[in-house]
Amino acid sequence: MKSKIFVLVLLFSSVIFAQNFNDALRLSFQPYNIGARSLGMGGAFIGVSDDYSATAYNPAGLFQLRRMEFHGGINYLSYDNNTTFFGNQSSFSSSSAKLTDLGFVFPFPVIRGSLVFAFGFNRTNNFNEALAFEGFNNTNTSMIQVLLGKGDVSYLLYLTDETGENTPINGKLYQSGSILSSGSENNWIISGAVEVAKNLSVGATIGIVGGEFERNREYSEEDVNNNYPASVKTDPADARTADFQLFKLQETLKWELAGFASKLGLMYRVNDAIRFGTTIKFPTIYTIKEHYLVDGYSQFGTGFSADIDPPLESKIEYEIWSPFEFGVGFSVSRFGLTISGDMNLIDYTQMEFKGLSPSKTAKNNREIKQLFRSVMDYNLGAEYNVLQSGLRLRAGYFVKNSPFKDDPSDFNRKYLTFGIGYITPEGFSLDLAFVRGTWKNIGDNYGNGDSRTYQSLKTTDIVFTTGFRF
Amino acid sequence: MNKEKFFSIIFLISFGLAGCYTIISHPIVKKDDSYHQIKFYHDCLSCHSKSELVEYGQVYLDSPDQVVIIEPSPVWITPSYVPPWWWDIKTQITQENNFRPNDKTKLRDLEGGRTSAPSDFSIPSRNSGSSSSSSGSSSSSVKSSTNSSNEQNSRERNSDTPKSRNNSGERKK
Repeated sequence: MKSKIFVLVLLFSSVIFAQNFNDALRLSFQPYNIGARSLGMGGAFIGVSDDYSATAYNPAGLFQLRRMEFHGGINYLSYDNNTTFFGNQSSFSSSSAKLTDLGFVFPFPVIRGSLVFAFGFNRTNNFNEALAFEGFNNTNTSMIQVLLGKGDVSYLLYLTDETGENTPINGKLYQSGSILSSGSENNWIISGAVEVAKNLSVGATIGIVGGEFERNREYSEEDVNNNYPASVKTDPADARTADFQLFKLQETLKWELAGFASKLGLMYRVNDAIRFGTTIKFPTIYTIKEHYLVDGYSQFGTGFSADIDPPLESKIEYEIWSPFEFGVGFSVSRFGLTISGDMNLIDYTQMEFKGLSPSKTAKNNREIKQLFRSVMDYNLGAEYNVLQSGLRLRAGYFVKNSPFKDDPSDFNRKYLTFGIGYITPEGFSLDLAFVRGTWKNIGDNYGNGDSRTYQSLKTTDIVFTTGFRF
Repeated sequence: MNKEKFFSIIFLISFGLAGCYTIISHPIVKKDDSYHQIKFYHDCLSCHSKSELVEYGQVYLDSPDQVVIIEPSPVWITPSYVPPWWWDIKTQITQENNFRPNDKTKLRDLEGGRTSAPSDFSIPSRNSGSSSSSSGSSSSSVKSSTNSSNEQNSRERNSDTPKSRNNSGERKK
């Protein structure tokens, strides 16, 4: 219990105005991969990987491809967050429709074996998130107190005395806010596989990473019960600051991503029915150009109000390294039915900051070691080729474990998937997948559980992929 | 050594041990004191046995008009997906050139030179009208000639001449 409290203290004390482990996690935690067919099978594709999606799952699987292939996909992602905040329930949704992948596979003519190349565009992570909350916080805490030690915001808004270190405001405020995130991580990839022994192939994918991320946060505290009457001045030397009424904070965090990603794979085809695969995803090196803006507003019963003009901003560039990922998978095919399973080992304690000031880098990397853990994620899936007609039905299930130490099991993301596809004798394919995810999470506006949102999350992702093999 | 390095080393060692199974190009072949670059669209059966080609994942069907690769046919892949795309080219070229040494009516290889004659090769008789160096065009020419002769005979019958014109002329002399 003691360690959990320590974890939470670290979690909440570093949310505002600085790079922290949440930034590393955002880039390192990838819920799932590309491809309607693979997602219909629960993402259990390391041991299948017999279409363009192999570039993302197991590049060694490309060796199975004998025909050239064009492949493209789009998705529609809906993100629903139902939040409980001091007994009040709120919900907030966001959605996005994006191109997920576009690529080409070229099997090189060979006398024996297989040599296959692929290149294209894969959108490997979607940063869409949403959160809204409101409720009366009866504790003696507030964001204004927390901001005393973090920059000049509370001072510029006349919420402190002239030293900027003291405020009479100590909670019992109506708090509300929202967070809306968007953006994605994109990979321009080149992939290749070669059959190095009969039915054994090795493959590799290297990717140039790009992308963007934007997070907008609005937060406000309002004195709805008049706990700070006209007799209380936030700046004792300024009569205008009597009768505090409202404080608003607006943050915008923008990232431009660049980097390099790589993955190696092995696949062994035991016979026509059984395949095994294994993969290593090397740490992705992200270079982040960050632009951070903070704006605020305060209002008093005297008619006085203040805002920050121009907004406070900072620009910085630094690196984040994601952890190694090790995957194994298998598939068994008989009588038109394919069953597949994957396991992925990810050690989130290997996430790493580089390029910040030495003290900041050390602090962040130490927190990563203290907060995170290794997890073993698993995927299960099945595909049935109906009467060998080219019509395929799919279903799957997979779990992405919470990377935080001591998180309960309902914080693990659980996904149920369904899919349908059809491939014509001419090689034209259409695939549709439905991916439903549910999990729980918490978030704190500040402090250790003093202003906590309890979140129940659901995502619905509809993925459509088409391909042509010729 | 941490587990990341351990797994990476195992992985890389397996790469090294795996060897090189895939062959991109055929070795240059010396034939009739000249060297030949064998392309993927050439007929493997002109030099290799079927059993050799099985080892290479390539087997021909027996039909003389059809050159089809038979690969392991996994149930998870639609059959139309199995033949490599370059076999479409190979099939087309092979059919256009009629390059099948086992087919005893074809004697030219892709370079246009003569090959050794099949064991049961025999010079066709003049009466049959067949040609040893070509098949389609000569054969149709012979048929055309035969047809002309038949038409001529038909006219002679109409003129109440029961035998051929040539025989009739000789008797007159």
